[in-house]
Formats: sequence, structure tokens, C-alpha cells
Amino acid sequence: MIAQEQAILQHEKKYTSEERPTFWYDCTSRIIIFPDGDVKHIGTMPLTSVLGGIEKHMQRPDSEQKYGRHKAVNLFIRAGNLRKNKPNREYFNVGDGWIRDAYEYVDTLFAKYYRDGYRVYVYGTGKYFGEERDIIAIRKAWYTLQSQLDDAFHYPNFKLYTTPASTGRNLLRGSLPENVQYERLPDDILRAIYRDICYQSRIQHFPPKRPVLENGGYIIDGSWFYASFCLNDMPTGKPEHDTVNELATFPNGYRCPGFYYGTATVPLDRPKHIGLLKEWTECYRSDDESRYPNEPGETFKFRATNHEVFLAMVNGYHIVIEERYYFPHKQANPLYNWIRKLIDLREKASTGKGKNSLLKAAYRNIVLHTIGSFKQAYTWKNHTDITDDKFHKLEETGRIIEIYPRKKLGFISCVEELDLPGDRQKFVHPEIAAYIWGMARAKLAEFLLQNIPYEDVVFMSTDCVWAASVPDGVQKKGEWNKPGEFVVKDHIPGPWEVPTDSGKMRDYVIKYNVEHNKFDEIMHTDRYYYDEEEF
Amino acid sequence: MTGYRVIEAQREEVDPADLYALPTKEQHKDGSYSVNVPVENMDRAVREIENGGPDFRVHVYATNEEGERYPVFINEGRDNGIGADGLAEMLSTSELSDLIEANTYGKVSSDELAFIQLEFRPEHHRE
Repeated sequence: MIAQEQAILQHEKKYTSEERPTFWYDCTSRIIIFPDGDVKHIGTMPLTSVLGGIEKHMQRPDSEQKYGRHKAVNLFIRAGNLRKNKPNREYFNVGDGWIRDAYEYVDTLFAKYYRDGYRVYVYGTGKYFGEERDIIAIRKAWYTLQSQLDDAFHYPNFKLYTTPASTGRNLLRGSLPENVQYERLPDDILRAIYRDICYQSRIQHFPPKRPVLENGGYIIDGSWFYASFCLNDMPTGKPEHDTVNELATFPNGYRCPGFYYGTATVPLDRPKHIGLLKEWTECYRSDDESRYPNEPGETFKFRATNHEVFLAMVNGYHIVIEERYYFPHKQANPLYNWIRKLIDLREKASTGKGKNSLLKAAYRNIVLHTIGSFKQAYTWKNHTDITDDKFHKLEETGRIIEIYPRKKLGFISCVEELDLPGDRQKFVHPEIAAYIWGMARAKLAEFLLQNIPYEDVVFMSTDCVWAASVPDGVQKKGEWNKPGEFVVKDHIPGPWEVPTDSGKMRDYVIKYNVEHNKFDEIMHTDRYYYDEEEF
Repeated sequence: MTGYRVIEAQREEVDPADLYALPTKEQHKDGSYSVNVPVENMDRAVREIENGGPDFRVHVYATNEEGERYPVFINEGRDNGIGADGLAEMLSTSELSDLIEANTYGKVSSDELAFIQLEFRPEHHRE
């Protein structure tokens, strides 16, 4: 049970906690950068030796003088999010008395090691800086980022946190409107939104209507899409829950933020289109099998935000709302001050003398990961290959949410669900993440519906569409475009043989992004953005 | 990260000989249970899936002869696994080994399948 006072998000004083000394290491170039900026090349060595070397270095009398006495350090390892750009999983296995007591490899790279009371926290650089390979440039960008945020947020002695989400949250707490309290949702509503409606962006391939596009294809992108939605009203204030069959409004008649469950029927008289609401099903569905029904007359269940439901209604869908959660008691937008500053900073990193692709990526990641982290309502602890005795004790006392199949008799691995630490409770707002993701789905769908013939749509991916034509008035992408504006990012020269299924399309997009150095756009689903923890 | 990459990243190395020593069925205190069967006993796996019914979600893991184990049904971040009744329905028209091959993108092909592990967890239906 979470105490209510722990769970109120409100303006707080800016404070700076002491930073752990930070090392930077690239195991490909074998460059290590010490906390004072000293750069050294070292021989090929396993992580065990790197950890040992760091410990030894920090215990030297001159190091203690320089950095103070510390029992823990950070080690950033140069690692992108693509597997080929990060050390393999086995690299993080250690020996020589070091013990690893936390390890994440798939969606995020993080590990915690200790030996005789000395700790090393290992992070990948990908969460901030994507696939960048130059560890010296990464470190430089890190400290530039710190200084720019310090200036923009008037945050004296600001220190970056080790994940973009925690940095974003720390900046947010000092940017919230004063004298406004944002309460955590009641448990039942929180669970319902978390489980049923906080789902990923729309990634969908449309079977080609023409196998070859003679004039090629166009990639049309919504500029800094999610940031633009942070400027809108958010679901705030006490939520209401009922079964009234209509879209909820404020007293002034404007639609208020809300989440809806119901039944939809695709209009019989509507020409073939992309489909506007995702079908809800409790059965299995993989990434590629999300359905947005578009056959005239088809009836299906949906879970969606007010923007999506409204879009469907005005396009002739018959909607029966069976349940709704809505937010009629509006409070000031908690994200407004925060996002305005981050938009300014990203504009500076995109144009003129301040142009810096690493800073651009970092600002993008701070925004996306912070939004994603609102979804996180619980945290999870992996128990790997524990003995049956330990497992049975955990069964008695803990909340086990997943048990992995055994590898051998007598040992088992499982995942325990834990409440987030007190300071994170106030940021448990899955309704904010769900709402922003829903706005993104609705806006992309609306753009397509109004501007691009169905026959020309090839692929939708979160904030981007691949199509055979470009609508009038959509400009070429500039150095900087207004957040939310649609622009042509690229043209694939013709003749272009359109990938025939979603798997081939996914491979094509990944290959295309890698070849064009678009490393910050590698088809991450939202899972990538919310599944992380600060330690 | 798409299903293919999630599966690829979750590859684990196991010793098939160790798997053969596991109990066929194991009950846990939270109502979940595990089933471990070698490919020679695939009928048992199918029977267990059919018996699971609508109130269980099953997480399927497949190991090939090389000792590479992969999760088979990766959902869209909401809740991994697949409803046991849904999988049973799929089994009325497909072989389990073919479903495993398709859903591991060929990592565990039907002729190299060595061991199947099923983790049944109570399904959380919306009330």
C-alpha cells in the first residue's frame, strides 16, 4: 500500500545529490576516460580486469585526494541499442571475487557489481546517445548537456542522472506549476489504465497494392511528435468512472481527457482506409499482429483515448461506449514549463553554431524516456538461478509475477514485483504516458486519412509514414521544424520494390535507418522507453 | 524492439541433458505450474495446453538440439505468453512444432526441436 503523501507530484526545490565519480570506457577502441578527463588506451581485457583496475585506481592516495573517498563509481560503457553495437551478453560475466547483483541487457544495458564493499554501476551510453561510437565525443556531450540544462532550468550545480528518464523527472519536479498537487490515481483505476490502455504506438505495414513504386517512396515524419503533445492538456485532477455512452466534456463543452472501452463498427459506406481504432483482444498478439479493423461493417471491441474515439466518430464509425474514465477537474498542465525549455534546447542543438547531433539525441531521449517512465507503476527484481529453498521463501513473502523455466534441477529463476521506491511513487502516472501515446496514434491516423490515399500508404511507424505520394503543402525536413509539423524526411528513389510483409518491411526500415545513420529512429516500441530504472 | 529481436536477445544456453532431469510437472504456490517435456513426449505438452483452458496463460519456451532456448510467444509488451485456450485452438489446425518454428522465426526449427517447457500462469481477465 502506498502512503498518499508519498504519491503527490508537486513543485519541489531543486537539489543536487553528490555525483559518483564517472569512468567512460569503449571496449572496441579500448579507450578509458578517467573521472578527471584523462584519456588512456589500454590493452584488450575482460570486464573483471576493468573493474579491478578502476577499484585500484580509486584507492590510490592521489585519487582519494582528487575525487574524495568513494565506495562506488559509475562506469559508462560505449554501447548502442543495436546488438551489433554493444558488447555481447557474456562480456558482462565477471570473476575474481566480483559479484553481479543486477543485470539488464535487452532493452537497456545496466549492471551492478560489488567486491568487498566496493561498488561499480555499469551503464550503456545508448540510452542518451544512441549508437554513437566515439567515447570522447560522448563524454564531451555529457558535460555540455549538463551545463546547458543547468542554464536553461536555472538549476545550480545540476548533475545528470544516469538514465535520461531520471534526469527528465528531476528537471520536471523543479518545473511544475507551484501550489498544484497531482495525485496518484486510485489503485483500481491505475491498474485498469496500466493494464488495458497504456499500449504502444502504431507500427503497421500495409500489403502493397502495387509491387513496385516506379517513382519511389516518401518518408514523412511528424517532427518531434511526442514533445508537441506535451503542450496539450493532460489527464489531471480527480478521475471519474462511469458507463455513460458519450464522450465526456468539460462544462464549457470541450472534450476532456479520457479513456474509453466499447464496441466500434466500421462504417459500411466508407471507402477502404487505414482503420482508426485498435481491436482489443485478450488473446495472443505479437508486435506485428495488432489489428486496426477497416472492413466495412466489421464490429470489434476497443480501448482508446478520447482523441481516437472522436476521430472514429467523425469518420462515421458507430461507437458504443461501455465504460469510460475521464478527467473533468482540470489542473495546470504539469509538463508545460518543462517541455518548453526542452524544445528550446533541442532547437538550439539543431541549428546554427550550437548544432550537435549528440545533444539532439540526448534531448529527444530525455523527453521520450521521461514520458515512458510515467507508465512504470511497479518495479521488478530478477532472481536468477536461486536455490529451491530461496524460491520457496520468496513464494511465501514476495509477489512473484513470472517464473522462468528451469535450466537444471534444484535451481530456478523468477521475477518479483516490488513497489517503486518512495521518491518514484509521485511519478507513477500511467494515464499521462497512455494519453500522449494515444494522441500520437490519433494524429498520425488523422494526417493519413486526410492527406494520403489509402492505396499509397505503405507503412506507419509511431510518428512516421512511408508512402507512395506526398500531400501538397508538406515541406522537406529542415534543420528545425515546429514540433508536430509533418515534413518529408527522405525520398527512396524509384523503382522501389515494396516489402511484401511486415517482417520484410521491418528489416528494410532497420537497414535503411542504419545505412542513413538514423540511429535514433530504430523502430523502438514503447516498451523500450518505459522499462528502465534508476539505481 | 520488435518480436524477432526480443526473441533473439533472449536466447539462453542450456544443457539439454539437464532439462531431461526435470520433473514433468511442478505446481507453484501462486496457482501457476510448469511442464517440462522432451520432444519425444510432445503429446503430453499438447494435452497440457488443451487442459489449461481459458483461465491460464501459457509461456512457451523451446530448446533446440544445440542447447539454445528461446521464448516462443512474445506479446506486444502488455503481457507475454498466450492464452492456453487460444493456443489450443491454434493446435487444432497446426502442429506445435510448426508453431514454435514460425514464432521463433526459425531459430528452433521443427526438425531440431529438442525440449519444450511450458509455464502456466493464472490469466487476469478483465472483470
